[in-house]
Amino acid sequence: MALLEVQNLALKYDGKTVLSDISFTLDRGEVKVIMGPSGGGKSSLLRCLNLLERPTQGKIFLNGQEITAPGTDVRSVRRQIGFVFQQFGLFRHLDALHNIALAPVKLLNLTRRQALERAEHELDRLGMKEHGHKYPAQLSGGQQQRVAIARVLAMDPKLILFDEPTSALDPELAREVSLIINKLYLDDISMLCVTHDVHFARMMCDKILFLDGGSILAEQSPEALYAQDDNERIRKFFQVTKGP
Amino acid sequence: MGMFFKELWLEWPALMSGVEWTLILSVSITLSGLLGGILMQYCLTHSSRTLRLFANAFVTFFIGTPLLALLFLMYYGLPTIGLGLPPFAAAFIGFTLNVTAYNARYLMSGYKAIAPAELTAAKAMGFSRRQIYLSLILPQSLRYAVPGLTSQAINNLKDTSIAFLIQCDGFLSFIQNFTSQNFLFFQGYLFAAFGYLLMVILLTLVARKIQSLTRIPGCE
Amino acid sequence: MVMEFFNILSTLSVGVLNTMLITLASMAVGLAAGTALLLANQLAGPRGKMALRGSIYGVQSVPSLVLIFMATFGLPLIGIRIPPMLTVVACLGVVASAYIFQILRGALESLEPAQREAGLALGMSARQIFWSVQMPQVWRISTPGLINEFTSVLKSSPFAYVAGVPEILKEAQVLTAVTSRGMPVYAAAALLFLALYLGSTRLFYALYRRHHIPGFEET
Repeated sequence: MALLEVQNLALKYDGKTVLSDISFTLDRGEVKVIMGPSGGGKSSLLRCLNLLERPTQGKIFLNGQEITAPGTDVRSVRRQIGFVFQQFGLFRHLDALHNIALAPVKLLNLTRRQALERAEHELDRLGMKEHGHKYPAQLSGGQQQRVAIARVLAMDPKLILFDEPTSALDPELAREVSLIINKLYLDDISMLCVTHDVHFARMMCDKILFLDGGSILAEQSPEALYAQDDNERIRKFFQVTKGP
Repeated sequence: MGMFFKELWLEWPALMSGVEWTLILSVSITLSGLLGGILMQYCLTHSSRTLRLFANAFVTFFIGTPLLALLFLMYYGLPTIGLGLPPFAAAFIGFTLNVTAYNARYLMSGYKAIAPAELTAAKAMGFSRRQIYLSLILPQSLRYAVPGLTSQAINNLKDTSIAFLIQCDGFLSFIQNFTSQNFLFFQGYLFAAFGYLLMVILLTLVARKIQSLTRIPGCE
Repeated sequence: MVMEFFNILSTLSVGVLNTMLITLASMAVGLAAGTALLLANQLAGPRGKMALRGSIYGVQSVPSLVLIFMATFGLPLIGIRIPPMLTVVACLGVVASAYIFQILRGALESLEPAQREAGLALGMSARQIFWSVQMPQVWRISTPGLINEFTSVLKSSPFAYVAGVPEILKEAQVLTAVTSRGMPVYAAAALLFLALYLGSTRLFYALYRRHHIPGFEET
């Protein structure tokens, strides 16, 4: 049984179709990257998966349980799916450790002490041990994103969704974050990642979902997708990103 | 409530004259306070340290003391040293000092929004201090300060209600006289509340108009 | 002359306690009610929001003095009797709550939406996010505005004298009636208020700076 299964998902906003007929699966420990031009519905798809948006049609299964069914405990679903934002979304009044510890205390009923221990462990794992007492404003963008990833890991999610985690960062910092995410790949964590970074995609994923105009145009390995030339749109997209 | 309005109808001319005095006082202190605020800002941005210190002390003192204490000082205090003022004059002076201080503060935060490079550029081009103030600092800080100045104008309208505590004629003193004849205190003050609400709504509309007319394109 | 002025000051300072009591109590009412209004505004639908904003605008448009008169002289006539101190605190507290609501709402709207989303994505409820993510930051961001509101309440506190509460200005009135030396008495009253104003703002700003968190600019 797949960890995540999406069946004929559709999303409409004020009558405008954002996503239509999206179907794919993700196995345990598998990593897929979602690519495609801006406005193609990539972020909306991720947001549907942890129910930040309500899909208009279709079904999503997590571990065989339909999470789009009416009466689903939305918050318990979200607790199992981590989400990493482009803009980090760190709580600015808390230092790195407490940013990570807040949700485990509030949602997993850990004691403050246990949660802080866990936070320390996660920071250490991402090479941020010495920054635990710094506030978001005192960290670089790359460090902030690492804290955001640690915050997600501390909830021990079954799946992590990344929404352009490196787009807000300078190339140098983006590389630092990519390496961290790649390390999670080696740790066998299931991930879905929206990105524009072709190298990053090649480094870490098994399959790329190419999304344009709200539907999946192709689902192939990076090499196959870069090399293909049946589809004009995909070919053009990679021509531009690959550069001259 | 029917009886209340019947009684009120009989006193219509007095009501109108009360409203008129309230408006006269509000408008005149808004204007005098604006002039005062500009003068204070001139002092606050002046090269003379003494002048700046004086202006700072002025602003702090009149922002830091309650209006009512100031009005009492003007109306009940001054006569004891032989400087008796009629109620309207006492109110006018007291309010003007208070509004001047607040407006100076709004203008100064407008002044801080002006890019320092502009002032340096003007100096480099050989403008005099006064020219820089009149043609650069004042017009820009006035525009930046419009939201603060207009909300101060609305406050002025509400604040004039306390002038009646020093026997000054106005809307609230009319209500006070009126209700003390017929003892319809609750209805009277409720009516006063709605009267002020109506005046504030009208003034807000005017303020919005002024704000949209004085907006500098590209500056918020 | 100087001695006399000090005598006046010490006589008036009897009223300081009541002035501070009125100000602090009204501020407490305003903070509690303002926060409740903010939460209500967060949870309300579009119509509820409109009704809420409308009534807040209404309260802000009426002079505090009119409210105090209505409560002091109007309410007893329709059978409601409240002690003067409570009346004044309720009126000034209601007015403060409207302004505090606006200050807090401005701060809440200035928070980046990503933080709320991050909270949701972690599985937190809207209420949990409100109390443990948004409000701690809202308090911090609005501190300068709240200190300013505190001084407004302080400066409205003399209205209490119309309800007969013996605060600084009421004491000054009594003293003037006895000594007929209005000028030094009211000057002393003004200076006492000025001292309270300067003292409290300095104290609050010092506390604010001491508990500073990087990333929250102070004005």
